[in-house]
Amino acid sequence: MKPIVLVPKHKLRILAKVTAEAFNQTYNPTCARTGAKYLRRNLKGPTIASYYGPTDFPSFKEYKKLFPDVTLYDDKEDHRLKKVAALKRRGKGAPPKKKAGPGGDKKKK
Amino acid sequence: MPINVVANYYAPLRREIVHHDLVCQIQIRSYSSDILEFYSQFILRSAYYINIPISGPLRLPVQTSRWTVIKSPFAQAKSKENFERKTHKRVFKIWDSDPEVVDIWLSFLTKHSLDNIGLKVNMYKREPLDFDKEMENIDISGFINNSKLFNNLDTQEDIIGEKVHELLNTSSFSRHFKDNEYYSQMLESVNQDSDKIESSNGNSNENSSKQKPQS
Amino acid sequence: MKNFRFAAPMKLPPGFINTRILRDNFKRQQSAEHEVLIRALKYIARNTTLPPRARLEAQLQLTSMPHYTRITSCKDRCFVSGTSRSVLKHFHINRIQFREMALGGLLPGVRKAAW
Repeated sequence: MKPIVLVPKHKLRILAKVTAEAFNQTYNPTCARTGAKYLRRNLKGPTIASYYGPTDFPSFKEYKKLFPDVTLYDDKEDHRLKKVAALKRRGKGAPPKKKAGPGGDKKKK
Repeated sequence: MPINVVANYYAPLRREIVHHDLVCQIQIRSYSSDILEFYSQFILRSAYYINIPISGPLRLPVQTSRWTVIKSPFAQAKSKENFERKTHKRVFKIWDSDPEVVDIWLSFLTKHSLDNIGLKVNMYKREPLDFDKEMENIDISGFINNSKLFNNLDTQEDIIGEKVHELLNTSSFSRHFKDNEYYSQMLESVNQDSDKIESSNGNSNENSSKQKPQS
Repeated sequence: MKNFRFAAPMKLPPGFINTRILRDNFKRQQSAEHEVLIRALKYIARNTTLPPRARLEAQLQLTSMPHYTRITSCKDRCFVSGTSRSVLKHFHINRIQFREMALGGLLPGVRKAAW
């Protein structure tokens, strides 16, 4: 059996300091709070900002512009147009636009 | 029938592993095991015809995730419903092959990949013992600046560290350093370090201001 | 897109839009934008080796920042219906939407469990 050798503490401390210098680590014997964890922690920003999906995701209108040759069918838009047409037939459509002539003159005065 | 068509009715043939030199490891995963069995057969057979020694498929434990939700949209919280999703995984190991051949084979696999199957590949490369001398000559500065991987892992501390430098050099912070001799020396040493870092193409580690000088 | 309702211009999310989703989305984008600044200020404020006055200055700057720059002000919302209650983290949807979609086979691999 090998005899147990006690290494004095100050020698261990020197060793820790030398290894820290050699491997580019920080030597912090007093455990002072350096705030290193705020540098080390991963940035959450990208995942948090992309929770609702990519903001540059093309809408249906943009898809239509991208592929003009392909006939695409938008269910929601079609439903809306049909509704507007039905309202118009019942006489509940948008009111007729006023003529621009006299109104423009008033503003000039 | 031609013999390669007949071979489909038998267990897949394999090339013999000679050197036991691991080149690449493939993991496929899917929510259904049937489709995985089919695709692993495809992997084995295509590997045989391109002369790649392959071992597998190794079954990894099935990963089950479960969710329990209340059945009703309002109240009646006592009656619940369970849902689950099982992820099946298979692992293949590829031995004694040229990485270029493996690359071509992998592109063939991805070209004929099936829906609902994920493919994950780990490539291994061996270097000679004196690779460290070669490494010194490689210019990786452009790679580090362009690569997304490095932006997330290695330079993330630098992004925050640079912001810290920027803040400490503004008048609202630097005036607190000027009063005390000890702190003013610290700020100077930090700025010198940052100059060094800039000259060495941004390969820095942590902000040196957190290194407390020994007193 | 310029939006007078919010303190800074905001990009719209692609899916379902709701007042509360818009508000949360604004907080998410702002907190992502200010994250590096907040981290740097926190580093200065929590670093005991720096001069106390500089640390106090950093802490004051941190507290004077608007609340929408904080990550903790973000709340996970269902991106199909906009509710904030009982949202499954993995799918980003509410339990009711989850059940309907799972039973309809819209979520790949998810099925009714019995064991």
